[in-house]
Amino acid sequence: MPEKESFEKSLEKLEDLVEKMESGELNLEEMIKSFEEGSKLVEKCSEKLNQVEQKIEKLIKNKDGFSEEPFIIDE
Amino acid sequence: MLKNKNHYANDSITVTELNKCVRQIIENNIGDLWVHGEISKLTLHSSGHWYFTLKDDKAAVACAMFQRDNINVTFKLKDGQKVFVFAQPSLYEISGRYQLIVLKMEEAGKGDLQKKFELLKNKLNSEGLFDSIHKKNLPYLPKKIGVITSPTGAAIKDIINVVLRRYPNMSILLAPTIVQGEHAAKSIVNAIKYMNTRSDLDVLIVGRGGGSKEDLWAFNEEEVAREIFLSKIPIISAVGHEIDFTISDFVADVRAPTPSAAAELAVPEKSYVINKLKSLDNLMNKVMMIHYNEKKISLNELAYHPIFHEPKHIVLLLKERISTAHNKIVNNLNKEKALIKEKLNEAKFKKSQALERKIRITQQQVDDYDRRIKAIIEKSFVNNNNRVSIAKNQLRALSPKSVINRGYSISTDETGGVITSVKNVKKGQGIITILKDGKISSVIKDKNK
Repeated sequence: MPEKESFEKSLEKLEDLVEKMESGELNLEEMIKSFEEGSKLVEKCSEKLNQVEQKIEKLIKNKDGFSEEPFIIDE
Repeated sequence: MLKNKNHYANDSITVTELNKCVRQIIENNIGDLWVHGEISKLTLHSSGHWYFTLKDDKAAVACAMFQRDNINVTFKLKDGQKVFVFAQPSLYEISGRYQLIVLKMEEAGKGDLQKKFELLKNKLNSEGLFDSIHKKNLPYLPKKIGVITSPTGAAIKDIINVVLRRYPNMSILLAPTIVQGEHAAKSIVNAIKYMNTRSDLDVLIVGRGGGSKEDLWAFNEEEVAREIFLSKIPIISAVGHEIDFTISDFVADVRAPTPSAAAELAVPEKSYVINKLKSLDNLMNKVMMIHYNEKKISLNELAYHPIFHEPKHIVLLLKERISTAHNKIVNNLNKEKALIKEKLNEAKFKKSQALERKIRITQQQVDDYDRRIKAIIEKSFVNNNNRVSIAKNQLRALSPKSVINRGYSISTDETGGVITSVKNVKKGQGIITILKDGKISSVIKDKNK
């Protein structure tokens, strides 16, 4: 679950950062710091977006409990 | 013990005769009577006749109510409605189906299932199971979606299709579940329990496609509602169609009107998330660029300020101010001196020793004051000169390059000392001239003043 949280948190953080940068309240040094942090967040979020591996599976009951096997929709 | 092969042929009757016979037996032996039950599978046929099933918990019977009779029914008929019917049990000879020909109908309040539904809903509601404080938030981007439904129903197909359309690299785990009939509730409960033992799921969809109220009934069972409530993983309920409300819907974290809608709630559209991220990135770059340009402009304004170009002008201005101030003070002092002298003369005239002494002291004070004022002026002048030379230094730091760029050059002796006067050089001496793109070494041929 921490991975999932970090995507949402990263996105929220990024939104806050950009909002602050837009407000015009930051000095040059703070702007550069925010920009660097923001760029890292963008990178992190894009990674997360493409990281999710696609698998469609169904549970199969066996003697040890459950295992997974691919699930195919029969049209 | 067959005596001849025509035995059956002689004794057998046609299907038509059979059905006619059964029909007569039913009609003659039962006759008109009142029956109560719940309406389901209601069809209002274009011919004006009504067809529906009357049922209770354990049994059902097909019913027909012809237009000449149903025009007298004053309430609007719908599925799930409990009614009393005055009917003739009969047989529809063409299909051999046993049915009731309904002659009269009266409303009998809400159906039993509806009553059970209301009772459970009120009970769980008063226990707080539907309270919004218990509703968990759905993840923005799940890692894997757990689906609790039948592996053969329409729901799982809809969910997979919608999820993959919205987010092509999303993962789904199906827990094949019985969603209808007496084992359904237990099966749903077990699936929710099992899914909660896994750590790879961050949202669950529990539901099934459309059906009759009885078909959907498992989702109105108390044990299902309580298990949904206990789930640590957020649950989206997706039972039947938009119009079907079940207890599961009330207790789930989010109610979706259909399984497809549940899939939409479970995953964001990938392109939307990508665009959101992109636009944030673009906005950030834009804001940074604007800020940077603003800072650059103000730095340039500072660099082109007259103080860095006309320091002489500033020095003159300061000198002028200082000398004005000095003159004013000196004038005032002189006036005071004159006044005191006058008083002194007056005093001398009066030959007052005491006054004379006082005058001497005053004179001393005046002289002292004069000295101090002069010292202050001197100091302030030095300070101002210092400020000017600081400005000059800044100018030096900033401007030689730009001066050289405009076509001027700087000449230095061989030790690097800047030559500012012809006095500094003699004939035959080597000098170095610095231009914007390099240095020239030359020898003094002649010098003029």
